[in-house]
Amino acid sequence: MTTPLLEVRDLVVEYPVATGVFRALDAVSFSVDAGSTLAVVGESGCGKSTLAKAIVRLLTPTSGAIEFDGVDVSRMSEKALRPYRSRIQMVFQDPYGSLDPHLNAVDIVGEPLRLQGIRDRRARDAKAAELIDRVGLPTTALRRKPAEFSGGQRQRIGIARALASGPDLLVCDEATSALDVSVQAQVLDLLREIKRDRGLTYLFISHNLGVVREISDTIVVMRGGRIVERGRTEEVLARPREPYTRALRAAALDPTTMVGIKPRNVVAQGVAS
Amino acid sequence: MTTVIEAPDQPRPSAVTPRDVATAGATRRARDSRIKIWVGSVAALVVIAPVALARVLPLPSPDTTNLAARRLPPLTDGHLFGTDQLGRDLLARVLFGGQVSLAIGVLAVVVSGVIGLTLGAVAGYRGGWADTIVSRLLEAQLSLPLLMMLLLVVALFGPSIPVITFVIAIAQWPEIARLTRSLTLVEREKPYVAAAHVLGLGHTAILLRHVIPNIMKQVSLVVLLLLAQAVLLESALSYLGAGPQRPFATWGRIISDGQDYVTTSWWLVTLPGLVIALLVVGVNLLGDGLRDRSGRSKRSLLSRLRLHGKEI
Amino acid sequence: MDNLLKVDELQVELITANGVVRAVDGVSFHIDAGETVTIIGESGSGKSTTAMGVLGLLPVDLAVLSGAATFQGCDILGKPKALEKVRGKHIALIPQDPMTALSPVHTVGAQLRDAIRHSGVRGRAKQNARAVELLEQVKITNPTGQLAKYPHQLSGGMLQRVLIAAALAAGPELIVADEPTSALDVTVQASILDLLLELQERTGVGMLLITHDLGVARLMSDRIFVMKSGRFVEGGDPEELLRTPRDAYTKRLLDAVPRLEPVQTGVPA
Repeated sequence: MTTPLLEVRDLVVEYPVATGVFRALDAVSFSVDAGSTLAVVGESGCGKSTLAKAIVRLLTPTSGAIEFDGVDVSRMSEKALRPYRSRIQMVFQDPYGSLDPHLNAVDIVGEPLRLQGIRDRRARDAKAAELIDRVGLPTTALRRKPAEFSGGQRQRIGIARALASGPDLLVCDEATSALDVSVQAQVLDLLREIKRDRGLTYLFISHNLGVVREISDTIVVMRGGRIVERGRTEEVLARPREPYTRALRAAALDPTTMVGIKPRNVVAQGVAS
Repeated sequence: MTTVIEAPDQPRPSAVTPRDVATAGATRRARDSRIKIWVGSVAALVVIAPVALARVLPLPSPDTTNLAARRLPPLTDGHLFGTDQLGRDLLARVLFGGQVSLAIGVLAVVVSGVIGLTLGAVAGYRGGWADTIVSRLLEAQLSLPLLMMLLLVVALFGPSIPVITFVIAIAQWPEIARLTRSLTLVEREKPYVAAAHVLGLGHTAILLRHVIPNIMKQVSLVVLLLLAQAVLLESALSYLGAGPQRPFATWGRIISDGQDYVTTSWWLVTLPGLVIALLVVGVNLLGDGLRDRSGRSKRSLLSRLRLHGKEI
Repeated sequence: MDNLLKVDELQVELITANGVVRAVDGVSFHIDAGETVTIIGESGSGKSTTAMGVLGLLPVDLAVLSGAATFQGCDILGKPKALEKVRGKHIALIPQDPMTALSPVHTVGAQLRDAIRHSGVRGRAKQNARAVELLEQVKITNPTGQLAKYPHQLSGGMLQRVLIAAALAAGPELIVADEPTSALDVTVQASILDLLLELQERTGVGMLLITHDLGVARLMSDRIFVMKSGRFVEGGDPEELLRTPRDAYTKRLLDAVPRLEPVQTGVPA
């Protein structure tokens, strides 16, 4: 049996607050096999964003282990972390804030390439252009700045940037939540394609159960910093066991399959014939 | 059966009248900032250009005294600004003096810009001890009476040009640092900075490659506005006698020299004063106009109403 | 009998630095007492602008309105005096983001009293009593205690209830809800929508609902209009629209919504 690509054990993240300490993550444990997609679902305040930040080491956890490919990266120094940075990348939620506004697309995607040592400008630009093409943007996009792109296009640039490092694990932190529904569908398609082509592993953070069903194999449901339910996505969504999961599931309104909706009997006052 | 609503064959006529466009907020704002930029540039150039070209203009020498032509009013005998109490051509003195005043002003602003930007950015980005030290230093300096402090330094170290420039730079760095710090604090929280972290960039690289380029425009605007303040400070110092000593005749000194004759030969004080005022107003208007224009393009009402909904 | 709200060929043109943008291009609909009409669309479709235009909330130096809008027979489009009389008293607005819709430096009670005062109730004691009554109607626990709290002390869901309470203060005949649950968690959304449905059943208030969420639209509406690039493209009964859409854009929109299979066991209705 192969070791999972990512294994999180008893992860705790605490923040000091005025009244003491706030436990954003309360001994969270799970694992993600290489090539699979794990969805982390929950509402605001459940700790899923904190979990994403901990895994990409945007913060240092208070205790616990984050084992990536067998190595615990949870408390490594920035220096030791450097070789792992390229292997774990992130796609962010906010298409409007996640790209440097003063750089053009080619430079944004080229930055990780520069960090990998591709010093020659032309080689870098060529590779960046390839990636930008891969995510479905035209060549006219190369020299444009983020302000000239729509939300969905910016997310594509963000994905190209994340791919440029050549990661094994991609953390998608509500990557489609700020997008219109039709655009969301296209970006999800892109993410699925890329995963297949490159054999990536995804950790997909979301509050949207429909999206999660489309993209993930396994799921963990979080609440109050803890995992309350886990399992195969199809299973958990079709037969939720925990009351919270059931409440989440019941509140999710899929317009085409809404079941058990209270019929509306509107007694209108004074409506003439 | 649902109703499919077809688009009309002919596009609907617009209801926007030319008067609507003329009175619209967007038009007004564009026009206002354009006017400010134009008027400001012209006013500033009217002062800066002759000062910069003083050597090639057909002017009498600023230092030649002519006791026979003392305190002539403006526009007599080819003296556009008249002469001072020693018969020296006032226009020439103002223009050549302006070279010193402007040079000091520009140098001071560049030095304070570099100091302010560096300290402010480090304080804003690192936080912690760096922020505490810089902020307390800022606040301490801002709470001291400025002119008194400058006079003290000049009294201690002598009124040479390097000291004056340095003193004005010290006077101005807090404002630049404070702005830079606030802007840095805001940029630091944005996701693109986090993205740079995740890519593996170090703190210095993020600051230099991502944060500072995005705040440069706003900081340079303030630096431009401070140029006017620097010139005013220099004039104040030289007026009080703490400016560069003879032979440098800066604007402040020209005014203080002419002080005694303010009732009899008004032009000795008024004309140099007007020149300073014109420069300061011009630079401020220009800075205002530029700020209005860049502010608008960042947060247009249109993007707030989310009407840029381009599909992929 | 007059419709509660009748909008005829509404056109909203915005004068921007880059030229004139036609945000709403000839939109017509009506709302009768007690019914909910939903305008559904993606960002940039003009749905919010339609509502803001009708309510006169677009800056005068930005928007040029044409067409017609009447409320209970009175012409209100671009008529500030008529709108003064009607806004807050007969038409109420529930805004999108509850976290930023209230002033952070005033207590919830003070802001509720503002809304109540606008509806004609004088005297602090009477206003407080009415505030408590309204908070009870929106199912807030411990209403008297909440009055002294500041907005940052309440959750998003509670803030939205307060905003609904403020909207109900004068007993309006029409509520305009602009993405009322978009900023809320999905479980909180369910309870807010429930509340709105219940209030509507009890008071017979009409509702203009703006949303991008097809599920919300299906739950709440009597009639749905799909909006794209400033125009309605299709409209009608929610069931029919969502089951057998005819317009290509509506179909695309529906296809793009991720599917959830119905839950198989033990789901509370």
